[in-house]
Amino acid sequence: MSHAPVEMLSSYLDGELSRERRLRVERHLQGCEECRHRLEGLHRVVQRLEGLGRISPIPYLEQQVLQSAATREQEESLRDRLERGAGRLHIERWVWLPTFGLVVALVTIIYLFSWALQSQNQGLPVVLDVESPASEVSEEDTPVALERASPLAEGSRAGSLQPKRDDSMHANSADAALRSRATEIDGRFFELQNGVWVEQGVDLREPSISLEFSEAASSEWRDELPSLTELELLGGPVRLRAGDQLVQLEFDRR
Amino acid sequence: MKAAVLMAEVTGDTDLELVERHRYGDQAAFEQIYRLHAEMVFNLALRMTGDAEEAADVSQETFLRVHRYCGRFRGRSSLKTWIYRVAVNCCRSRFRRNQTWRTRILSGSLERVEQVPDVRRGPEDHTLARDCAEAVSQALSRLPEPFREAVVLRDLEGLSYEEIARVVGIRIGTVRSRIARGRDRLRILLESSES
Repeated sequence: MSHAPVEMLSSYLDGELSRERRLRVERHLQGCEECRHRLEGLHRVVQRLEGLGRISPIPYLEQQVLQSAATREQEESLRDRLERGAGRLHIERWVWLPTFGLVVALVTIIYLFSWALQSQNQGLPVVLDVESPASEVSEEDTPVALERASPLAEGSRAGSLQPKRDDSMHANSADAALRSRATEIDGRFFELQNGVWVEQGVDLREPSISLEFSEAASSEWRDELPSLTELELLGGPVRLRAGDQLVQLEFDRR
Repeated sequence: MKAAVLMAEVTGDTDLELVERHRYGDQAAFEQIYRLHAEMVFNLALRMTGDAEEAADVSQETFLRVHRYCGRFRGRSSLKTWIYRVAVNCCRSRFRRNQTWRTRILSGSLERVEQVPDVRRGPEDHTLARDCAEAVSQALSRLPEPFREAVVLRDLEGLSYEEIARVVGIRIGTVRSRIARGRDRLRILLESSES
């Protein structure tokens, strides 16, 4: 005689069998001592399991769970915010990259342009070395310097100009200021004071003889004066020494 | 616990409403979910692990997962079934991770779980009941994990075959088979320990 499968006995206990199967099991149990014994054993197991009862959770558990959940929520919230921030950064990268590239390109262009301009300026004899001795100026330099200078416009650049290479921007600007106020003609140095080009060492307060440029060439001090042409290019009255006299050359009033 | 159940009944919150409230950051909703299901989860974990401390850890892990993934609950099953599923998965992963715990289970050296005394019984009955419960717990802890899951969910948690199938993720035929085999092994273990 074959026995009832344990699945059928267990399901019979749970009332999970169809009516037909239940009746078949009941008929089998009437004639099978071993299956009855097995079914009773299963029933006892179920009863003993049910007898274990319910146990209340450990008292600290609630506080622990709620606290951990709150902490985790804060962490997740922070992480979410960071991720959102990173997301925004990712989006902005497409804005920032071209912008950054454009700025770098502009800065490079400006730098190259200013460098080129500076190099060009350095090639011009626009800075006068007022302390250079006249003996160091070659004859060849003079016409070039004069040709490049525009003394009437600037009112200062004239004479045998001494080309000077100076890399310093500061020195350039200082010299540029000086350039408009000082010059050198035939080894003699002149400085602009109150609208008058005054030779170095001459006190403007000392009395002087007034002489017009047109008369200077035929005057007795002709040999004592530097190049009149260059003096005229200064564009203003010039007070200078002529022998032991102090002369102020004026433009022709006519 | 009763207060939480009563509150849910009074407020008339369904599972979905509770979940929705939790999703929108209502801390009270999660507290309510916890209080409604804490005992269930703890007892399931206790019977699955056989150890009160492990059960507490599993409960905490379960509720933290519930807290995090509650938004995925769509109401296709009850929240209770869903939380059972989470708890069972926590037990499984913990069991696989924790080699020490597995060894303790096999050696039968788990912490004794204190039973709630029945006031209708006398002191002798209490001792007898406690010994009996301990024997059942020990036998239960010796069952293979799939059998133990099925037996605990059926005989201790009172789930139907269909609910167990949903919680464990297996077919009803397999549930039937696992329950039957689990019970039969327990029968053999208990009968051999008594004799």
